[in-house]
Amino acid sequence: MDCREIIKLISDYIDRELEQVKREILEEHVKVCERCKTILNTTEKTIFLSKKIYKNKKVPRKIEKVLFYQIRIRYKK
Amino acid sequence: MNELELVEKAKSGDNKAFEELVRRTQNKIYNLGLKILGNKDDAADLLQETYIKAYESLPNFEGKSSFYTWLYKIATNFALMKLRKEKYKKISIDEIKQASNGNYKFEISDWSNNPHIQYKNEELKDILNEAINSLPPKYKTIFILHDIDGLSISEISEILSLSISTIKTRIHRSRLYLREKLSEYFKKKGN
Repeated sequence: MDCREIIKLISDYIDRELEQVKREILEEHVKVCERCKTILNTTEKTIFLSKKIYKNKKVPRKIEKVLFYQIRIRYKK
Repeated sequence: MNELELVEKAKSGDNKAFEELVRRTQNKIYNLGLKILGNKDDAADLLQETYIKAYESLPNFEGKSSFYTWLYKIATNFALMKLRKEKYKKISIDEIKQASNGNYKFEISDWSNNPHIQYKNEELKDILNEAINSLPPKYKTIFILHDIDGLSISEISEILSLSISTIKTRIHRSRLYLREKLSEYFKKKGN
């Protein structure tokens, strides 16, 4: 398998969706290929950083109030 | 009371049960709106539209998927409709395809342990946010659902009515595109 094919497998590898044979091929490849190893590491870090930029918030009281009002006016219809 | 019992009660006209379902799920739906649409007003619209639609469509909910997945489907459709109307600069599908092509000249520098990512780096956050926002609507939505909200590929396939392989391809391309943007940033920073 060349680098081009390995890169195609990176996401499946990260998501643990790769069958064992291909997983082993990828793991062996990145041991000797600095370029693919870098792409794998930095892709994993990209996902990690993406998760960090969002902070979960609670629905503000005002928005919640309008939401329930909008739902309740439909009850009678 | 569990979700299934509440759904059954709500379907038979128990409004209190429906409100309990709203209370249990509203924060997730609101945050999904914030992530995909990027601002409080649009997230509030998404929240309202999602639950009004859910209330009106509840008699048709067959329970084939979980209530959450069903809500996500309604919310995501609304978000996609809204995103398509937006006019901010988005990258083309060709551009994103190119970034994941095997022949692409990837930016290669291992910044995965760069000290700039150890700190609260607002600049980095902005770069990443801008890059995520520039993804085509479906790519952005899929990336957020999978990599941020942790939904499985099969759940997303159900929500967006797309095949598993399409979802996987779009996740892969989005990741490589975002990786490239971060690599460019770290290159400028001198890695």
